[in-house]
Formats: sequence, C-alpha cells, structure tokens
Amino acid sequence: MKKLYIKNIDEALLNSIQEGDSAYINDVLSDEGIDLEKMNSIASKHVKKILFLAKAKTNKVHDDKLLQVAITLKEGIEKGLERPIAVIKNLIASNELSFQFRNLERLGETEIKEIIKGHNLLSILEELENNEDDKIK
Amino acid sequence: MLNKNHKFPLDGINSKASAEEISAAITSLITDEFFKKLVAYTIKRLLFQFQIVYDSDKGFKGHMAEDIVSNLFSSFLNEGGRNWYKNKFPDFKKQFYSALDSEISNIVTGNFVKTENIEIDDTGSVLDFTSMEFIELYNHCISHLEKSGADIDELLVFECIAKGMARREIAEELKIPPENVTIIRKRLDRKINPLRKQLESSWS
Repeated sequence: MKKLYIKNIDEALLNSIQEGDSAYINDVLSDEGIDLEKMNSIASKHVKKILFLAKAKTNKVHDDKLLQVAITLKEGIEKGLERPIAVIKNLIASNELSFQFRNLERLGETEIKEIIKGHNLLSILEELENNEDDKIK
Repeated sequence: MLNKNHKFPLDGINSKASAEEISAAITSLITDEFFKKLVAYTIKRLLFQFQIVYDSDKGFKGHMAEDIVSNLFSSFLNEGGRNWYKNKFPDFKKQFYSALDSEISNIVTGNFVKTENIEIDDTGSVLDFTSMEFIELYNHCISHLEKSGADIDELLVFECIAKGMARREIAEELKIPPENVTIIRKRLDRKINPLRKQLESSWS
C-alpha cells in the first residue's frame, strides 16, 4: 500500500517536471546539487550537436531521394522511354539550362540531380509512374 | 481458421515515423530549456524508481544524465536506432519520455540490449481508498502538509495525486482549469518532496 502511495506521489512529481517552466526546472536541478551555470553551457552544447545531427539527417534523406529520382530518370533516358525524356526536357527548360544539357544520353546522375534539385520530387515520381509501359521514343 | 503462423498486418499497429518526420520533430522540440528538463527528469526518475541518488559530479555507473539524454536523441537519428511509433505516441514528446524511461531502466539493470518503450513497473495492485491503511497514510500526509503550510487547494490536489489521478482528471474532479492544477502543484511540490522522503524512510 505504502509503495503504491509513494509511487503515485513520484509520478505526480515527474509530471510536474514534464509540465514545469524554466524557473521550476532550475529549482529541481539546484536542489540536486547541479551547478546551473555549468548546466546551461552543457545543455547549449548538446542542443547544438543534436540540431546539427538532425539537419544532417534531413539533408541525407533528401539527398537519397534526389539520387533515387535521378537514377530512375537516367535509366529511363538510357532506355529511350518517352516519359522520362519529356520530364527531363521540361525540367531543363524550366531551369533555363538547355544549352548545358543538350545531349540527354550523356547526362550523369550528378547532372540529373542538379537539374531536379529544387523541384517537387514526388510530382516527378508521379509523372514517371508506369514508365515500364512507356513507349520507346 | 487462422493457423498459429498467420501474421497479422502491422499497419496501424506499429506505424513508424519516417527519418524525416523524426528529424523535424526533434528540431521543433529541442531547446536548451527542454534539454535541462530532460536532465532533471532523468535524475528524479533514478531516485524515485531505482532509489539511486545522482552524483552531480560523477553521475551514476559512469553515466552523466546529460549524456543519457543526448545519446537518446542521437539514437532516434541513427539508422537502426530508436523508432517513433506514431499511433501509440502521436506526440513525439511522449515517445521521447517513454524511450527515456526505457533507457534509464536499461542502464540501471545493465541490460544493454535495446528494449523499446517499456512500461514503468506497476505494482500490480490498486489502492483501496476505504482501507484503514490508506486512511492512516492519508491522514499522516495531510497533517504533515498542513504543518508545512499547505493551503486547502494544495491539500485537495494532493488527495487526488495520492489516488493516482492525472492532471486532467484532477481538473475535472475539482472543477478547475488544468492550468490551475499545475500552478497549485508547483506550490505543493516543494512540500511533497520532504514528505516523500519521510514516508519512505520512517513512516510505517
């Protein structure tokens, strides 16, 4: 009985920390003998590191998607499929880069990534859907 | 009829967030203040659940609370690390606290095999509010809190807390906004801490 009673009190105190404002948290940390000035600096350092990791992860995920679309486009172009060729031509035109990428067959993954960067990758993929049934140009 | 090897589809049961969603949730959640809150939570969880007194210089078992919190964030961002089960925890913050409970438990028990979202030990029994023992405990606590200067609002909130009620339930019971419960509880917490220590050490 006493154990459960104390447990209820503990959970309430832990909830208070979860809902507590900055002053309350500082009080809790001080009561535990934590040097607040030191803790502020430690927290700041760790938060910067975590934000950096989160940004790197987001960039990696985006880059992986970009590469996946670039590979799909490249394979379509190599097979001479109508839709991927039309998609890449439209993108080149919309980027006003046509003079640089006149020879589609010679485009590498890096160049295709440059072309599709900044465009909606999902809509490109939607346009490419069912390209297996696509006609060879 | 389904045979014993039949596998049910997991969609809707264990819907995991994508890496992008986790990164976005972490980016919008984390601040210096939130990080400090997690450190405070870790220290108190160690004390309440495992009776481990945290050493502000040495941590415990060679682990500093800030490293536990930081490593847990990293684990959510690493491939093969922790997952965010969106249907169980639509709010990432709740997922994080659950993972933190699990991580603390793993470190204390020396279990370094990742366990996801363990539930905190429940004693498996419920309080009998009408039993003599409960009434004695309650009277003892109320008397202690009154001596500490607790007002009637604090005593009413304490009564609800002791019954295991959550903030929203307390608000409904006392017919006050949940924000007011938080304000009252803040005043009460400083009085509860010594009471808790006394209950654990001497009262029987």
